[in-house]
Amino acid sequence: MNIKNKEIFDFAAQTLILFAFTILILIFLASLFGEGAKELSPLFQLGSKGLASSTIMQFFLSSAIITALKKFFFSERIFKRMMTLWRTVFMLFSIFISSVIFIIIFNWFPLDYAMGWAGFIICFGGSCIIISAFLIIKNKIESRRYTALLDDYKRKHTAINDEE
Amino acid sequence: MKIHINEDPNFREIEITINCKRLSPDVERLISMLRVLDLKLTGKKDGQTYILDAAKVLYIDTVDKKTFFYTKNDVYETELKLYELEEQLAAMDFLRANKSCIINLQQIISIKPDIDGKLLVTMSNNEKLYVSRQYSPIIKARLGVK
Repeated sequence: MNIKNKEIFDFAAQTLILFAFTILILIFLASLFGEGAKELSPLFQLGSKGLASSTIMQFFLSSAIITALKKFFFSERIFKRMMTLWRTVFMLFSIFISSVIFIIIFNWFPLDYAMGWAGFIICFGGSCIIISAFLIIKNKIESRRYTALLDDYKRKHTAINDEE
Repeated sequence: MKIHINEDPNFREIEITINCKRLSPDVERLISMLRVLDLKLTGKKDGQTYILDAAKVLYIDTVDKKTFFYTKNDVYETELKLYELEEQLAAMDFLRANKSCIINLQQIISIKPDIDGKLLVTMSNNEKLYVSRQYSPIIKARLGVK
C-alpha cells in the first residue's frame, strides 16, 4: 500500500473510531435523558428510542472534521518545529470552535439555554482532562519501556562489537 | 575515469591511489564515498576538511539540498547525499527518522512516544528530534517492541 492510500485509510479508520465512540455515548445519553430532552434538543428528537439519521450524519461529519483538525495540527508537513503542547492546545481550541459552530448550525440546543452550554463545556473539558490524563500515563509507561529496550539494545550491540 | 586494479597477495591491506588533475568536488565526493566504506565520514567545517568516526555522529540531515552531519558539538557539511549515507551506514545503526534525517541509534538517550504514532527522541547532546509515523515502526522493530 502506498503512503497516500495508507493516509486515506488511516484517516477513515480514525474518523470511524471517533464516530462509533461518539454514537455510543449519544445512545447512552438518549436512553438516560432522551425523553426529557426530546422537546429541548433535536439531538434527542426520538427520545429514548435512539438517534435520528440526521443526528447520526451530523456526528459523522463532526468526527471527520475533528480527525482532519488532528491531522492538520500534527502534520509534519505544515508545522515542522511546533512543540507537542502547542499543537495540542491549538487542536483542542479548533475542535472547541468547530463544535460551537455545529451547535449553532444544527441547533443542538437553544443558544440561550445556559444549562446546555454549561453541559457542553463540562463535557468538552472533562473529555479533554480524561484523554490527556490517559495519554500522559500511557506515554510515560511506553517511554520507560522504549528507553529500557534502547539501553538493552545498546548494551547487546556494544558487546557484539567488542567481541568482533 | 579509469580504474586500475592490482591484485597481489603481498599487499597487506587495500590501498587506493587517486591520480587527478586537481581535487575537484567530484573527486572529493569519491573520497567521501570510499571513507564511508571504512565507516568514516568526511565533512567540511570553516573551509577545513575533517575525517570523523561515523560512530561519533549523532544524526545526519538535509537542509536546502545540502547534507550535514552533527556530532556532540559540531556541524559538518558533506558532499554525499542522505540516501547514499543511509545505505552505507545502515549496518552501523543509522536509521531513517524522517524524510530529511537519519539518526544514530547508539546516540539516542531516550525515546518518547508522541501523538499520532510519532516518536520524540533525545540525542546524547540533549537535542530532540522527531521520528515520523512512517519510520517509527522500523525503529520500534529494531528495538524489539512487540
